[in-house]
Amino acid sequence: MKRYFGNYGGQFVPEILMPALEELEEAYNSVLNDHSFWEEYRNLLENYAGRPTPLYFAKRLSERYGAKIYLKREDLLHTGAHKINNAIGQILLAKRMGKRRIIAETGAGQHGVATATAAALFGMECVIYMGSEDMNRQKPNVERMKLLGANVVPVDAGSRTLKDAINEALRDWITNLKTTYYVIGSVVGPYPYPVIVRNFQKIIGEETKDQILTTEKRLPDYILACVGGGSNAAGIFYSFVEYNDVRLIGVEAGGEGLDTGRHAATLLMGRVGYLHGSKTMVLQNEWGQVVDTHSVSAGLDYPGVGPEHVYWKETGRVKYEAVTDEEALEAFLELSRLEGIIPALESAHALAFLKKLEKVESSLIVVNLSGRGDKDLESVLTNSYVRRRVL
Amino acid sequence: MKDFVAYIPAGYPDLETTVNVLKTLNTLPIKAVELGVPFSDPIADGPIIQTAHAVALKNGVTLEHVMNVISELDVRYDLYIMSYLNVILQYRLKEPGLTRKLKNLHVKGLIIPDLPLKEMKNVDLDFPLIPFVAPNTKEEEVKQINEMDAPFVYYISRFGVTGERKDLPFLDHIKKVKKIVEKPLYVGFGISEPKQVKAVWEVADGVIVGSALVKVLGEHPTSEVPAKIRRMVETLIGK
Repeated sequence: MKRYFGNYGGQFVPEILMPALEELEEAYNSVLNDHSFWEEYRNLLENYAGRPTPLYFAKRLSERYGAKIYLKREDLLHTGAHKINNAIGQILLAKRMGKRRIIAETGAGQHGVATATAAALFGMECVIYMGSEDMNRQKPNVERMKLLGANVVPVDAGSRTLKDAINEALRDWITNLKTTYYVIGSVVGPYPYPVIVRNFQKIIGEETKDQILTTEKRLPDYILACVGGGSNAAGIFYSFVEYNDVRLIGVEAGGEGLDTGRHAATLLMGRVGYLHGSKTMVLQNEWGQVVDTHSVSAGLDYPGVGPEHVYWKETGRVKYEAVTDEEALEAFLELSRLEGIIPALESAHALAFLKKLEKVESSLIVVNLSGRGDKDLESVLTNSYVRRRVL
Repeated sequence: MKDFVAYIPAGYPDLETTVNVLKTLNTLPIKAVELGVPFSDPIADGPIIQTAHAVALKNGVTLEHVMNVISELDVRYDLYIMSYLNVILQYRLKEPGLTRKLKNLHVKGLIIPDLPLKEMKNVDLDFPLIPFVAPNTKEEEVKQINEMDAPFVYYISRFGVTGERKDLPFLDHIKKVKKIVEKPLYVGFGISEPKQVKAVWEVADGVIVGSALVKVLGEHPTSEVPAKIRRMVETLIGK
């Protein structure tokens, strides 16, 4: 495996973590050709998490846009989002490595819930770091993690969101290397994490490809996915990267608008820098300080992004766009009322881009519905824009 | 006594106090000062130094300020700059002559905790970088480090982040590393008591003390800080 995606990635971490990353790489390489590992992984995804997820033809949504729109239903997975694919994979890896203690960071709480779930399944001790600001806006997930037996540690440093939770998880890992496995939740962090997480998520794209070929006998014109750190997008894009006719679009969080400075659109507005162990795009000021981001969706509220996305952007293979909080909320309401599906606010960003697609008419489109919106009910229902629109 | 290196985060609690402390340190028998430039995401630091980073950032302290402080300083000890990689490299984008400037200021080297040996060649910094050795660093890497053009080697004395501790767990490993490394070997992370300083001096060439001093910076009115720092350093070196 290469440590870089083009110019991006690498291992920009304290020296003390380097042997641990090497140990992880060796463990991952040793399971790559180990059938029993992948059999266990697939068995759990099938019988425990609920794979394969449907590729659902959204008839009323399609009528609204004059296109053929399919939704990849990751929201139907156990724990409510694609995060469980990676959590199960990494916990199996941790088991192989003989680690008994699991740590993870979480933003929206979906990765924390998925990790707490997988840790419970294997009887492992689990500590989840979560920004105190995120704990406030994602209360149900905090309760869920506690119910699952995880110790949820609030992080009060910095902006009190995902990036600070990652800092704290890294500090824990540095301290407890011998016993502890760090389950990173997105395609970020030092190599080999971006590769490992993408490979545990690429099942989304593999299924999508089989399913669309079966029902439509051709590949889609567009695939839309939201991008925070970028794991669901990497997961669905990866199997299509080699097919240049399939246009891949990653949708970032435009927050209150790209010109307001209150957003989390790292690929569109960031500069190349170094954050959380990799060389990647970073939202930062002229002095290299990472800035506070904003998004209505906690899962996208992150000032970095996976290095492979930077590579895809640079090579032009994937186009990155942004939608605002209000556009995402609009899409959240639209899908709820047209299809009876309440999407996660993160996934609503991908849906919102349907309105902005060029040549949408008679196109074949797949939207990755990465998660469900139960966790967002409180923040949506107290949102003033939503209250003006519907309540 | 052997070498003593003090870590001082610039701009904590404010830049004026930093300058006063740096002048006070000049009257003490210390070898070097590691001057810290704040970063928003200091992953190798514990709570005490994290607070210092946060306060200094609020004070708007930048690498440029720190270089200005150094340019007006006349001290006999060696000066190093410590910051995270992004701070250094973003500044170099603004000021391509960064390393020449640092040389003119007689800065001896850069200490970058998130730049491991393996990535040093990928950032192309034409300036002495301080390599780290940890208790889990492989022997072949220690040998590689010994070949580097570095003023000293920084031994991280524990699995963990910066902060005050009472123990000193890896003395035997330090001895082993010392046998390979011909450059001065300085031990840091968790050194906060005279007993630890003495023990390190028996096996290595020097100690690096951070959090114990940073705590003093934050605990007293700024007018008293230089005297308190003097007391702390004198206590640690057993004077």
